[in-house]
Amino acid sequence: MEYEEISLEEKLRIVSGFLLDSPPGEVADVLNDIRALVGEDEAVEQGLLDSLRKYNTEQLTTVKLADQSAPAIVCEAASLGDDRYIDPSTKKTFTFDHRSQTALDVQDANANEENEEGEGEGGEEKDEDEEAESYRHAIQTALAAYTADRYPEGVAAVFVTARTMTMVLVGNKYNPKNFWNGRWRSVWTWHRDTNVFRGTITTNVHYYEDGNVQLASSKSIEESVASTSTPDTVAEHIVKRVAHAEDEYQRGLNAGYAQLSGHTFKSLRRTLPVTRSKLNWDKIANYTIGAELTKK
Amino acid sequence: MADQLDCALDLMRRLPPQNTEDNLASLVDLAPHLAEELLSTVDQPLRVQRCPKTGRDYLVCDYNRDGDAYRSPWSNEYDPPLVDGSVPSSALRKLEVAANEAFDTYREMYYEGGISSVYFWDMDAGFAGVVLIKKVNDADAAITGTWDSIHVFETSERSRSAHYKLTSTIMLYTKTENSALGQMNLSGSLTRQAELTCVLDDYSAHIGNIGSMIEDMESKMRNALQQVYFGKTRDVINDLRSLDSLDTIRQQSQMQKELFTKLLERRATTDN
Repeated sequence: MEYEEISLEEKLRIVSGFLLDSPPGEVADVLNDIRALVGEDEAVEQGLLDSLRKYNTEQLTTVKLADQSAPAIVCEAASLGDDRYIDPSTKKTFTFDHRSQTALDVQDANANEENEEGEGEGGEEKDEDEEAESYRHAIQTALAAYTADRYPEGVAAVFVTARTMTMVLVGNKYNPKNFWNGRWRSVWTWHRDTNVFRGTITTNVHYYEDGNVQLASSKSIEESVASTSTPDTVAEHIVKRVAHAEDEYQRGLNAGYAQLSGHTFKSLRRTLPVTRSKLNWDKIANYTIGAELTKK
Repeated sequence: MADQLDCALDLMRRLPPQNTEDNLASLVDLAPHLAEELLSTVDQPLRVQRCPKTGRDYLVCDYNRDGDAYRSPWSNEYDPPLVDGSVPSSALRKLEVAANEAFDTYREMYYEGGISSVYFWDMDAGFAGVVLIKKVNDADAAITGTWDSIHVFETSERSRSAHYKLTSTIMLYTKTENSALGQMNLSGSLTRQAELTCVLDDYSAHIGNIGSMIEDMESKMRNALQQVYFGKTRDVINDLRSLDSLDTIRQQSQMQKELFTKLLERRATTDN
């Protein structure tokens, strides 16, 4: 039988959508399934690479740069272009292979800066960079302590661009042996001039033993934070806001569970009829069969 | 080919159940040669259609479909009309009518609303059928729920007994939003199988046998849904992030451990 082939454009739109929808920790499985279905195709592979790049940065994929250190986060704020990323806490840059999720060509970020300095950068700009870095470093320290105290497997990084600090936090728990995986992602920004503090928290859970059950939840937050003076007080304040917002969200989610379970689920189907006993099927069947036979 | 089908089904087990219909349609576009197998294997949310003859709503799925038309369990007619659409034999149709009425009662007792439809079809060694139930709870737009039950069974008769093979899927979609949590969508499906041999004194006894088998299955699955949806996935969230300081938790468990050791020591000394 002949089948109508869909256009390459349509094919790419579909496989990219599938890939971006991969549950936490399952992107490699989804990729394998897609490849088995579309076969070897160079154009599709290029499209898949673009989608993987988007997936990895959106999902805050973590990668180890060295055996001993905390993992780096691959995200928009870390991107230096051409698949190179910066890990601000270790001041290393690396090339990320989006297919294998591994880091290559790890280098010191400072090496470049020194070169630039040699070319005669303005002293004022340098002061500003140093000031920004002192804030970034203070927030990084406070955020790392907070993450370690609340996320059993959490990773956090703080990035600075112009006058904006971006705080990125991700916690993963993968348990494919027991058919579940979960991810918590938070991305926060704080603008140093306006003091506007924005954030998005996203959680995904997949349970797939004899089924496919998924939780998808997200919340956006925007508030202004009081301006304070030193990097340390700012860091303390900012991380307190993060902790407060995440606590509120998590409590809200737990309340949402209680509400859906106690109200919505219960009102869909009862555990037992009002009579508190199971149906007498003989009676029902006899009645209906009888009615049907006498209908003639 | 079998390998490709496995991969397609594996994808459906991983992609968000919130978009099952779109995902399945895309998958069929991607692998049209698997269309028939995918459409008959992957359960989709049940759609409601109104029977033009009786004005009653019924549920449509792959099992009451013939081409682009669907058979109404109330009129036994296809919509749009089909001259030679497949229908059950007259004896089986009688049983189907009675089963629809019986499950209407069942649905009213357990769901207190919703829609149900039962479809039977003849097989070489007996017959097979599907029992469908749908209940939507959308009175409050901020917190909604939809339940779809799909029970597919096959029966084979032996002298005075009948053997039943049942595959049940329940799809549950729940959604809520409020200022504390933003948006929350908890959806998906669970599938279970069962087999049973029952006494069959009379042809009409099939209804009671199938009925109580499905009633038991739904009770078990309702518990499983409760545990997986509202227990398991919530545990994962609270495993990802702790509301309490992990440091405090560790200190407390260390203190408990020390206390317990001391108690054991004290007991050991008093015993001596």
